[in-house]
Amino acid sequence: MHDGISFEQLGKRAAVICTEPFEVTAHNIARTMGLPDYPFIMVEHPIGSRRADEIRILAEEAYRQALPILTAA
Amino acid sequence: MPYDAERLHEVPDDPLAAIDYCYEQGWTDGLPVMPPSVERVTEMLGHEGRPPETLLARHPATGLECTVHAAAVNAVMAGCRPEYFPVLVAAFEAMNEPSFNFHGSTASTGGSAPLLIVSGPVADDIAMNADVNLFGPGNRANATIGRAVRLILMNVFRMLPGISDKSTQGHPGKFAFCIAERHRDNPWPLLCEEQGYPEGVSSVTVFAGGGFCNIENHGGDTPEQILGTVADAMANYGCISLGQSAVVLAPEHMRILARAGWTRRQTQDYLFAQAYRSVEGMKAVGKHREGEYAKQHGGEISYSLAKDGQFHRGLGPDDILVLMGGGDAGGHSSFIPSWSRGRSSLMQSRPIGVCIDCE
Repeated sequence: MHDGISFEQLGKRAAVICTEPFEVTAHNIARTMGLPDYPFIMVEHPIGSRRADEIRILAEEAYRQALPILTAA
Repeated sequence: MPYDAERLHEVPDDPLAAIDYCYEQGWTDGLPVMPPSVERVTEMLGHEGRPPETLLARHPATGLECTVHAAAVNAVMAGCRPEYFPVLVAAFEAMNEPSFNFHGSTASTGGSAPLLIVSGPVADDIAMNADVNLFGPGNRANATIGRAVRLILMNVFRMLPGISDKSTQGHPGKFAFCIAERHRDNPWPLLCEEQGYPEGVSSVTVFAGGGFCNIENHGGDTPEQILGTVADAMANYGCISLGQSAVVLAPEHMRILARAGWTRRQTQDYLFAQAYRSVEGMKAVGKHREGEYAKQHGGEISYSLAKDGQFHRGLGPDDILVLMGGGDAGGHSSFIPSWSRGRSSLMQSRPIGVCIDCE
């Protein structure tokens, strides 16, 4: 979250992906960095132990959520 | 957090009410804290030569800052005596080194806690425990310095469980994790000497430590047998990584090494060489990572002790901190793994109460 907001502050579009158990933490960092409504992508946990076909499904879900974030004015 | 020495809270004179007030403010680790009265904080500040607004550490992710004043307030709350304060100050200056990565090591699911190891005469000066029940309760300095670290992480840097501290399980050292290196009957130079500090200068080493692993061996009577047991603990599948290690040798085990004339260097080399798992084994449990293996076996630095087909713990012998601590009786040493799957936090040390090469 910190990296994503830092990119935005440097004028680079970014989309942060976090897994569900980290939602509270992501909101907390966004609030701390002065952008409490900063949108982010959220997918199911975990990532590391998933099979490739499961990761593909998560990636597609992340892509769907990323489009409105990256194309917003 | 900006320095704000004027932020005073009015509470009833009743000490119990003041303790309850601290609970209501969320200023505790779950246990009662000592209400930080102005008098006690001032007394604490008297053991630091720099102004209260001096910055000790800055949280890289949130920008929150810990000043000498904020550290003193939390030291009082933890129950520290003023003479302990220089240890706490030095510890946070060490943790402020970027390679310690104290954001990651305190926020991560890995659930580590900064282990403080105090080496040198300061440990005796402030009556720290380096002896029996080393990691356990009963000593004010060990307990309250360790506790003050946690209170600063929670109250100043806002590393709050479930919100910014996402430790999956944490460990008891997150209440307090502070020991002294034992000098009595120690055959090796103290850490502070090996770290190159001037004679008589004490040091604090900070290590982002995961859980605590007891290493029992009452039957072995050679260095190879004792250290083989230690290496086995270091290489367990749950712990093995490229990360650093802390090994605290019990005096009973140390006597076996000393009798055979083993040095710290020899011990580190042996542990690194023996603390490994086969690549096949790592693959079998799903923990083999080609990049990590390559980093250990070549790349920028090649270690002759890292054998082909073996994944060792750490990058080399220097990644293994070895010291003596604990009571005279018992073949119980300990291994503390580093936080993280890799090398995201590297141990740091600082001199205590003195300024060396200060700008």
